[in-house]
Amino acid sequence: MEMKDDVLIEVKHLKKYFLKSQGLLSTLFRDDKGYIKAVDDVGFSIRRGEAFCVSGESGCGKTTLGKTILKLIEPDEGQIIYRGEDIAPLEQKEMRKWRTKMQIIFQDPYESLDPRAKVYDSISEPLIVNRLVKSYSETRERVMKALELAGLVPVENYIYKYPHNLSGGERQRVGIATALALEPEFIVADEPSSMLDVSVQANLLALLKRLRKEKNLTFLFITHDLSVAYCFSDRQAIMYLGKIVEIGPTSELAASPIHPYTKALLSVVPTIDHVKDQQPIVLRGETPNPDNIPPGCRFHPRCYCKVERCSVEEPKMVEYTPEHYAACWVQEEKKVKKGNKSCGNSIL
Amino acid sequence: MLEIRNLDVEYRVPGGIIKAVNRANLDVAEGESLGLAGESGCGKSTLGSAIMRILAAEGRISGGSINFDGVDLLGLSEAKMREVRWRDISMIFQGAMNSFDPTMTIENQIAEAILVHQSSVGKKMALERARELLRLCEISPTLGKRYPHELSGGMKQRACIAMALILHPRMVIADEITTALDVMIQAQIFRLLRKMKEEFKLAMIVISHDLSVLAENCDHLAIMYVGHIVETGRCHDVLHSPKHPYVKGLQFCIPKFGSNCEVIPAIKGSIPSLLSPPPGCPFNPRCPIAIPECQTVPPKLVPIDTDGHSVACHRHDYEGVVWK
Repeated sequence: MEMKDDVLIEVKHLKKYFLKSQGLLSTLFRDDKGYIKAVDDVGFSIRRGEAFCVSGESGCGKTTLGKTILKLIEPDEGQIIYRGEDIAPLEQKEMRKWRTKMQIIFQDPYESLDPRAKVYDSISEPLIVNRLVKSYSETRERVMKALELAGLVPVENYIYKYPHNLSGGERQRVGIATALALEPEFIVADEPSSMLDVSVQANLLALLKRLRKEKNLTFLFITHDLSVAYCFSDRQAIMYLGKIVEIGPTSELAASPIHPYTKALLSVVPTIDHVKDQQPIVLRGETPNPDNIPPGCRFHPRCYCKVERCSVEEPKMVEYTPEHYAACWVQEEKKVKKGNKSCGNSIL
Repeated sequence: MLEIRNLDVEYRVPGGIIKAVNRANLDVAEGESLGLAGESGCGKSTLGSAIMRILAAEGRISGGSINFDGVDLLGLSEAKMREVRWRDISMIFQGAMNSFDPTMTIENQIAEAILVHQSSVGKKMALERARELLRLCEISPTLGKRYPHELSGGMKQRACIAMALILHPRMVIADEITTALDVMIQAQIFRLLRKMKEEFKLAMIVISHDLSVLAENCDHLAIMYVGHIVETGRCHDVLHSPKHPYVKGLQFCIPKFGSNCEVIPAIKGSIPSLLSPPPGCPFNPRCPIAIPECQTVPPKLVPIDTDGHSVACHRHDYEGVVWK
């Protein structure tokens, strides 16, 4: 996936395998199967100022991917090229200079804040640790500014509160303020709105969108909710069992999905509009375990339009329209033959 | 079939008494499904539990009536109520899938439930019926022989549905049953629930925070806000021509495909504390079209057409744009 213009971060062949917890005997005589392939050869790039969204069902590896890119989890293989420098092999000490530039907003606002730290302390600590401020007044100024940006106004009402005095939405805003105080350019937002009520979620998404514009922030947005992804991102990747199966401009991906898995996922997203232009494609079975990935195309056991080749050979990413890639043998063969992509629309 | 009139439910909490459900009126007809929606803390689960009379120790029903098939459930003795539960009305909870006994196989647990409730049924017969139900709920016989920890969340939730149906109840209350599950599994579960509804001619109350899930799976809809039912009616009417400003606002908040999401208009402010709810209409502090009357007189749920579309708002006939 070539995309040279103004790329901020590029990920190439990224892999993160976790060792399966197992008994003593299998530890002693370990064979190659003891790994959970959470992120398995993932590649994409994000432009400066872009919102890139990664979606998929639970266990597909999207959170691991986000944390690995920030090196909160050490990658096993691959490159993470940030502003032209590969940060994958860097030691944690060498990562320091990038840390303030790359921030994360966590999913659970109830667990990601220190319950014994006041809002002021939560936000000022990273500033002090990273030696970004010289005096008390400067610290205070930056904390106030961050809170204001995160929409926690009037600021005086919030700075000396403890997390347990705040609502879920307010806590998530404190999380955002903590990230913003460091003036980052790249933010990984891991399901930032999934624990919030719908009216609070809408406020939060609007806030993130506004901040993105004002501060020219680049986002890696992780969500299981495809409609949230649609509303927030410019480009989107769909992950299945540790691998990206489809990637493309968000609106195009929603309007004309290529991969059978993307089609199925999109078709079951509930809507309040009564008329759906498509019958839901309800897949059988559950998302398989990432410790036992099927051979060939990893989606083939649940696929509704597979061919023989799918269970043998792993499909590669192929470009269908500009910047819209998918990895599927059936679609690829169709593309070569007639160029239509109708798999799945009439099945089930 | 189910008629709830002026139901009040209170909880005693440190710092006072909160009214979790406030003068609620609801009707559910035979074989009909009603969606009960609202944000956290609006009282939707409390209302569900109140129908079953299984409120937490701090809660109590302080007024109103619940009629099921002409029987006043609130007037029944606890022993009589126990007969109604599960036999006439059963309930599936959000966390229920984690409440299976870890030391028993799924089919044995369901068979045991049959034995407990129906003393006339023998052990073999009970097990047979359990398997039959599991098959209906799309759980294969091999999975039925497994222990709960060997099943996925979706499978356990199916087993819960089977469990709720063992005595052929006429109504099922499903409380946030797919909240912790993925969208694909959610689609599977609701397809199953719709199938069961047809099969057993069930009436259902589906409680969820997700309006779009209810829109796809229910005939009628009731929207709650801070303990009050603010709007109710046929799904289509409530969602496509809402009259209450809160419901109008909620619509904009739901992320949608195909919409221009450049700006998401949203309801400002947050849900008021139940300990000190605002006087008058509970939504008035956040409502852009509130008039002085809204701050003093609580609005009643009044019908606005003959199809059962009712709204509790002094300004329900306001035609202009509420949310910009």
